[in-house]
Amino acid sequence: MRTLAQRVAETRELPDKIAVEWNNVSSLPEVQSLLFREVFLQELGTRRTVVPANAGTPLLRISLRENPTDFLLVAQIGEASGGQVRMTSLSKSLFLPTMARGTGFRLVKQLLWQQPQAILDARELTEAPGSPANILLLKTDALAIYRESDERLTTVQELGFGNYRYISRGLRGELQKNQDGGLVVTLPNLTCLLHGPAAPSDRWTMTCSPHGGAGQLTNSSSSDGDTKPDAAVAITSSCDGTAWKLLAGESDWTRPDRLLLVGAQMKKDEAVASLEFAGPVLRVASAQDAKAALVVVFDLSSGNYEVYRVAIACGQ
Amino acid sequence: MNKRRAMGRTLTKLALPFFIAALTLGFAERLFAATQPTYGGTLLVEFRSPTLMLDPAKWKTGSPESSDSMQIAAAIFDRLVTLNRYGRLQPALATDWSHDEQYRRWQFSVRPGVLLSDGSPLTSGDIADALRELLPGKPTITPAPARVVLQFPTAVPDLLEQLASSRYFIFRRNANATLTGTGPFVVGKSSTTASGTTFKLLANERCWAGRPFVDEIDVLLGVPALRQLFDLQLGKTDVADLSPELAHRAVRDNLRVWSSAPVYLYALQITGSAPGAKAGTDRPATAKLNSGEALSRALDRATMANVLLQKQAEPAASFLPQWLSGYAFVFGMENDVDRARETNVRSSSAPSGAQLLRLRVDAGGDLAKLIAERVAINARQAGIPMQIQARAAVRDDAGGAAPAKPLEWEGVRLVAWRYSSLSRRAELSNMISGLQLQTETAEPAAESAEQTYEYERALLSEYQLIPLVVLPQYVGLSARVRDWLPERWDAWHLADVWLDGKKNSAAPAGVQP
Repeated sequence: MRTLAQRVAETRELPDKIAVEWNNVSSLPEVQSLLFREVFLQELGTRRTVVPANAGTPLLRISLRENPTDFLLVAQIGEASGGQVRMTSLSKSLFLPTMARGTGFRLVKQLLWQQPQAILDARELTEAPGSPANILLLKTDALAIYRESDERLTTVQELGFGNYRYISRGLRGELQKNQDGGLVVTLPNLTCLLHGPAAPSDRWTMTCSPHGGAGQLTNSSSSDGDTKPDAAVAITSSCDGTAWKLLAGESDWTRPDRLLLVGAQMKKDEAVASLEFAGPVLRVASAQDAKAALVVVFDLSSGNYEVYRVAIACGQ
Repeated sequence: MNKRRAMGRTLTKLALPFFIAALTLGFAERLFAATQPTYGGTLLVEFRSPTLMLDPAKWKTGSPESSDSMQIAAAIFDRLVTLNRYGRLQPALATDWSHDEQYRRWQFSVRPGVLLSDGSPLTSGDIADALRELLPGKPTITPAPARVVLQFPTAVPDLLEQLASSRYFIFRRNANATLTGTGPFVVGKSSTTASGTTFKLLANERCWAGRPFVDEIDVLLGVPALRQLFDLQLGKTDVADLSPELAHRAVRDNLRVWSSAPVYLYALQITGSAPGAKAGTDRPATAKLNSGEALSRALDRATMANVLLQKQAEPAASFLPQWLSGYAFVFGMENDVDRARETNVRSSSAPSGAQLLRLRVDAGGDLAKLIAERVAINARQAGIPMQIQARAAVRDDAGGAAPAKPLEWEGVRLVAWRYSSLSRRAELSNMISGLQLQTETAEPAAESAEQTYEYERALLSEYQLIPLVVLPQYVGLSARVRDWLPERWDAWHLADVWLDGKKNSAAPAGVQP
């Protein structure tokens, strides 16, 4: 940004006093565009006087654009046809999200985690009553355990699947409790049992064994089966303790989805509230206390898999 | 202190059952929300093109006719890397890659355990052989255990973008010249009936990235454009490459239509001596340039795109479209008939530039004829008399129009170009070689946006190729097609498509952006 400002300032045609028109015509979030603008203006301000746009003031047009691999900042100095053009590009890969800080409750959803790699399932688990909740994310190469504090997740442990190679176009993979009360990780051709720490200082462990039996997840057409959507996920209002259920849409993975809040005895078309997401909702699971739900979403605009905590807001 | 430690141990002992018991608590109901993909069924695809050519080495760069072949090849072969719609390069047959500081030496790690569709393992030797056939620039390609090293004589900073697009698929060429791939589908038997040739693809159970959702794809070739529309309405097909002329009608008929970013360029190519000159006479370069400039200024691209092509096209002032370059909007489109007339008079030896200019329509289809007629009208308005000459279509090996021989033609050609590379530099280079442009502008050494922009600006100012309009690819879809999520540059992902058994394929499904 600074280099572009310097190169623009070095252009002979650029007058001493100039107005800057900034236009974001890309998929980059406006917040990021404004940050760029600030840095650019700061640098340009050291070499030229930037004034508000009005009639007669020479205009420097900055346009934030994109191509398949980069974001482009294009500076047009003078009139479009005869003027000078300077540009700089920023690889889109630079904008890969790292651990995102939770942004707090936005009415009813709170972003807990996002990453470009697939998230197959999410569960909440508390080691002991009163202890902080663990968020378990099932990824294609590991089961990741996070601890939530101050509205952000920190990594507790990642348990890999060894030499196992995840193969499934359908994002198959589940976290389920078994009859013994343990947590079972089911992936195509692999089943793992999660063992909680025996003491606070201990670590989580996982034992895995390959499988291919009927009824298990595989990537073959015969036994992968169609996952029939469950009726709903139960959720309790923390305001008055009333029982509700969450329902998701029935579109495929090409469209944004939404969750509907429906009374425990109501039908789908009697939803009292809805919550929009920027992509298909892939999984919904009740949180430990059923006062919230964990939702896995694929954000179509950013290409990230996101995990939200969804709760019923009080009095809003 | 010791007492405190002892108490801690006691508490830990007491807490132990809770740690275990906690695992049993609280997992309430769960929900698989968005409709999960299901396996099975036959996806029916119709193409207007009468043939498919699945050998990437035989594709004519930029030929619109090879577009369908590229879509099907992508279902049979894989690439080393891919680019997703979010601008992230994704590992495919290569799990990771690196390069030296000069971008001349590239190293790719080969994904282990990948099988070709005949069951034999993919080797780094297969990858090296395929790339040797396809890559320009004569790189030295050395296979090593689990990796491939490419050494180029010059810097190739955009190699990954190149490998993620165009013809750079990985295959093994068999003794009988057929190709075997690692992709999600394998080629089945083709059959010919009264309705055309059907090309069958079968699910590859061994595919390293997972079995595709559909069991088979039946590709029916040589289907007339109108019949495609009826077949979509009657549920006789699931996917059809609609002609732009019929896209409006399909939407009006409440069919589901997907459109890509603009991937076809229609342009005028000035060849031989200056337009307006008698054939065979030498004209100074400036005269040729002025004539091209006059013609370019005479063209009303906005009317072509918005009125003639009913907003199915976008006016084009540059070789590369906005979505590919990011800077195309900078190039102005000056439609100035008076100035065009002045420039034409200045460049012509004949009074008022009255020499007849021949416009040969090399691009196929009714659309090209429509555009040519509009070009002729614009030219005449600027005092450039123009006559359209249709060219007898000759089929080449790939089933497309015969390779053009621009240098044997003196006048103006209307050409169609299919963008295929995600590298700006490579696409410009392809256009220069594919259309045999005689440029003296040196190709930039680096892939920086500004250098590519300056390069393209210099090419445009030579007026050998005058862009007119860009058009997207339109695809008609049946209601039962789910997870249709191609890249916007028209790269389909047929392996990820699944069929909704509950939906009647004939049911109207609205418009899909």
